Formats: sequence, structure tokens, C-alpha cells
Amino acid sequence: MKTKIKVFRAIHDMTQAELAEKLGVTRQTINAIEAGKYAPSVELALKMSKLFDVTVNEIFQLD
Amino acid sequence: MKRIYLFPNRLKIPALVIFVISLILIILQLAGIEKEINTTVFAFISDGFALISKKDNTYFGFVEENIYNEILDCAFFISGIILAFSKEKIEDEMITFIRLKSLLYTTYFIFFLLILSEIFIYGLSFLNVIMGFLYTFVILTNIFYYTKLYIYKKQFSYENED
Repeated sequence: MKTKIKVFRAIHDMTQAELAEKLGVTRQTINAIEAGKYAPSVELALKMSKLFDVTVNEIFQLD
Repeated sequence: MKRIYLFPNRLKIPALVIFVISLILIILQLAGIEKEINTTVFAFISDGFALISKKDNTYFGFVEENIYNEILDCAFFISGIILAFSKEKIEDEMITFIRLKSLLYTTYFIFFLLILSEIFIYGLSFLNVIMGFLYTFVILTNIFYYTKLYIYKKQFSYENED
């Protein structure tokens, strides 16, 4: 799975720690998702899409 | 979404202390160093295994027993379970996933050993081995969980800056 979390973080001028705090997860979880080592739950993906004001498909794509 | 119940984070340190102390005392007990705490207790069943004649068996009655081992075991199992299943400071889905993985691998390992024991160990020793598996299950769950947690925190501590 590919993600564009880093792109959207840059657009919103957000660090991993800030994003993690807003989503209620640890910074390591955000890091693991960006590195493609962990697939987030539907709930977390939806929270992320709401925060970045984009669709889930714009953030996450299948390989 | 339904949440699973986990013990509060503030119980982690007390659970760790009790777990370590009870583990040390259990090891000492196996080495023959133990105390006696004799008292009258209510028992559903007290049959002294097969060594005592059936006339001494008690069902749903009061018996005189040394409960030192029972106190140690209860302290060990309760503290071990609380230690493994208490919340982290920030509890998220990744932590839940790590906890599930450690429980899963412990279960695989213990039941693999159980099957081997069924095939190769017989008699009273089998009961001792089964009891050993109970202790091992709690110990391994904690070892796997905290090892995976440490690796996860180390591996993903640094922000990706491409």
C-alpha cells in the first residue's frame, strides 16, 4: 500500500508528532504507516481524510 | 466501535513489582526454600491427588492447608495478566496489534509444547509440566509483548525526512 501522508502533512505544515496528536495515536504509528509497515484501520483512515479534507483514496493507494 | 477492556496504565508498575517478587519466590520454592502458611480454607475439592486414601477427600468443605503456594500463584498470575494487558500511556491500534501478535505467538508456542508433552511425557510429571506451561504462558506473553513494543518504538522513533 502506498500513502501520500507526507505530502498532505507538508501541505498542512504538520509534523508527525502534531498529526499523531490530532489523530490520537503515537508518532511511531504515523511513522510506521508512512513507511508502509502498517496499514491503518478504517477509522484512522477516515479521521485522517477528514483532517486533511481529502478522500481516503487520495491518501492511500493499493500497490 | 466496541473497545476491549484493558487495565489502567497506573497499575503497570505495581503489577511489575509484584510479578517479579512472586516469580523470584516461586523459583525459590522450586529450589526448596519456602514458608508455611497453614490455615483453614473452604475447598470445592481437596483430594491430595492419589497419595491419600479416599477417606481423606473433602468436597465443598473446610480443610487445613498450607496456602503459601496458592498466595504466590495468585499474585503471579494476577500481576502477570495486569502487566500484559494494561494500557500504554498512549493506547492506539498499533499497540493493540502488537499485543495481539504477542498473545498469538505465545499461544502457538505453548500449545506446540503441550502437544509434544502429550506424546513424550506420562504420569504425574505430565501434571507438573502442565502447571509449568501456565507460568510460561504468562511470562512469555509479557516477554513477547514488551520486546515487540521496544523494537517498534526504536524502529519508528525517527521522523521520515526524505
